[in-house]
Amino acid sequence: MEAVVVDAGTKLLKAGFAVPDQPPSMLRRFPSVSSEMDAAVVDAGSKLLKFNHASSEIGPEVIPTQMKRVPEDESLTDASLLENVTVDPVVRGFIRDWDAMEDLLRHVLYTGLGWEIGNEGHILFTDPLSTPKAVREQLVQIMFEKFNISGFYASEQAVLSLYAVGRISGCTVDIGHGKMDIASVIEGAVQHISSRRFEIGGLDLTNLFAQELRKSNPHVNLTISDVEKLKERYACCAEDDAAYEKIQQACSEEQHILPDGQVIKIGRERYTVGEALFKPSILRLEAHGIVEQLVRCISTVSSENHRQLLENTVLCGGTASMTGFEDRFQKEATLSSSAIRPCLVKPPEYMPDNLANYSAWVGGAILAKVVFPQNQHVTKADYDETGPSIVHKKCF
Amino acid sequence: MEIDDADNSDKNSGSAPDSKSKSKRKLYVGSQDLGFRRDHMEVLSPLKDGIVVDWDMVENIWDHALRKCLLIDPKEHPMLLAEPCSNTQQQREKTAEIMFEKYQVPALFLAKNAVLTSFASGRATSLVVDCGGGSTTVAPVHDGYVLQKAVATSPIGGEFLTDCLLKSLEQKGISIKPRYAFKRKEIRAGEFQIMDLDFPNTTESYKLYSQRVIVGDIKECVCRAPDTPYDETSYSNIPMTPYELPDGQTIEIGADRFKIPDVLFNPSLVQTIPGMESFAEMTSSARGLPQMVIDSINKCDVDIRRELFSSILLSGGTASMQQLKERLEKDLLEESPQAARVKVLASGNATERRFSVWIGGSILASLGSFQQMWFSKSEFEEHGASYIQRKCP
Repeated sequence: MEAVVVDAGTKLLKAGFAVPDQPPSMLRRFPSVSSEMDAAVVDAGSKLLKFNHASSEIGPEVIPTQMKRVPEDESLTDASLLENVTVDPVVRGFIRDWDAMEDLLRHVLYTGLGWEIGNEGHILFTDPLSTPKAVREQLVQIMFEKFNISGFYASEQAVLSLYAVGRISGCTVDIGHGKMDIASVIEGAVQHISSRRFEIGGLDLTNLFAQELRKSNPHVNLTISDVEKLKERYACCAEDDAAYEKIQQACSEEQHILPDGQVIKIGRERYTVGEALFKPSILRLEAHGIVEQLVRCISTVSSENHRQLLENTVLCGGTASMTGFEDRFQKEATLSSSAIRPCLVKPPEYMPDNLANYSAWVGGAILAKVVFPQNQHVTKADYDETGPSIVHKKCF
Repeated sequence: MEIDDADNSDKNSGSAPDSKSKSKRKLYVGSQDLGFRRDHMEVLSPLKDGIVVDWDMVENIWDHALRKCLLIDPKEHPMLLAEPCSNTQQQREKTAEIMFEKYQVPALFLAKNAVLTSFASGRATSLVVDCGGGSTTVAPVHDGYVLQKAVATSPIGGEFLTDCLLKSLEQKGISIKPRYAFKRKEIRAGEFQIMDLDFPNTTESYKLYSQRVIVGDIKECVCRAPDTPYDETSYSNIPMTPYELPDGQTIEIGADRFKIPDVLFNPSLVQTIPGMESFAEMTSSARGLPQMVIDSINKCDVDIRRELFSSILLSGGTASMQQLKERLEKDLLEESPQAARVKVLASGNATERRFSVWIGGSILASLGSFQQMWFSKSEFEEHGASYIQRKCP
């Protein structure tokens, strides 16, 4: 049976099986009889759960991670008594609510991917930067004890995103829903000294967008999920600083009809959202813009490796697929001194579009095909012998 | 698990800047926070001459390291701290108090820097030459114990060399613009212009700090230890090396490449650098590196001198300067007694040299035979902080 790859993010959980090459856009599970154990890849974000076989061509299956807690007692018929509590198992990139995570994984693995109890396979998880050791150990424990899997592996999202574009060294700028990571990787090892993690992400941009829209459309009633959809559709980045200033003065407005019939005008707010990444002062944060942070991170690494890192800069994460973001990023990058000038990498042609959204998952799929057949993963026997701390020795 | 608290020099830019507002201050710790310019923000260090003067700042640094960077709860982990060889009894007791009472660690151990470096290279007896940022220390270690009477320190360290280079460049008319003070604008396609930004509320200490960061990078890239002692005439025709500053300006560095590192070997050179005269009295009493090594070995027993000569370990950030090891070996061969076989060892990797104290601590804390040597919480409660003298020699 194939192994599963899971990428748990703050918004999306991406999961899937690893299968031999398939044409893109076929999201299906295969109860394959092949003798090689392919991995299933699960990428748990905080918004969407993406899963599928670990095949680089297939994108993962995607489901939202935000869950609703339903009371056990099915006798309730009155809708108003139904508890409408949203539960976020993954907060700012880290798994916080373990029970919710367990339920989510149960759904993903048994219902979504078709695992049978008693016949579980291998699983590969992705970790964000600076995951505390305790979180990793907890995850291993749950997988082996509650789910009874036969093999486990964990890897850092930064390294996997690079594998997805065919590199082993480079810099990843991962802008997710709950957090933003800037990591430099040399030959497959994350250089923690020069990696930074910021607790801003798509979530904060959504809040900003909501705030701005409420200011300009005071009579419209907006829910956060509406704003989320509007952000995905309309948010974009100005070409550069000067263009942004011009837009602040005068901007064309668009009308959008919400599902409940209200009409909303969206004008310069769309550009504010994009600008916030380059000028965090808009979000009232005391930090430099993203390109400046990247440059500073790279300058802490010794200069022999600068070239390697700069020429292989990868943007990934849902927020990075904003219209105009890449161009603006490249433009700002040319403004930095020529010694340290980041250069974005083009993903290979055989990769599906929108790779940025789940490049960590795809990298996981690629890695799963290498690790599990070669038995470099943590097996049940290893776990029984050493306990959860085995994950630090075998997976890095 | 252990934390390396290098009490005498901030290893990971631990100097805490603070912004004063009406005698209540907010402390920012860490290079990420330091990198952002704020009004009225001063850059301070909790240490003065290797002694901790501000324990509040030290606690903040530990908080940041444990809770924000490592994301752990100190209650669950025994703590191994590295301390300088010249640490006072009072400081150790205060450290123990803070660790047990504030962080509630289950067990603690204080180990000397030199001993840990020795373990990192797998030796129980060696002479450790630690060229750090704040100072340089030469300490002989015998069977895992530091011979206190033979320890020699000198205030010349990496930071001092950075200051020398900064003053030297200023004298030549090159002004180092800190990163926050300029902005690049694209006027036409492919052409850039530097615009100066003015922030009147930036403190002097922050400006100096930003300049030091840039000059420190110049020093690490460009400076090399010269093969022979520096003198003006022979090095005046050296080809210049170009270096590009963050604002795009390219500067050429010639004789300074060799002059600055030679200050380690010959501190009186400082007087020839214009702008550094205020340090003249400090450096006149300081000795050069080879001299410190010889003096230190001579203060030890005759029996172990031979072993010390043949295992001289280099550690510290400044020790990863190119050609330093070869120059030190050469100088020592000249000045040491004939019968001694001089061997200077340094790990090849620059990162390992910089963090050899931490690596040694990591090795020590994972040894099975070390586990009974911890100073546990119950012992602290029973005997008090002064018991640490006995438990951690």
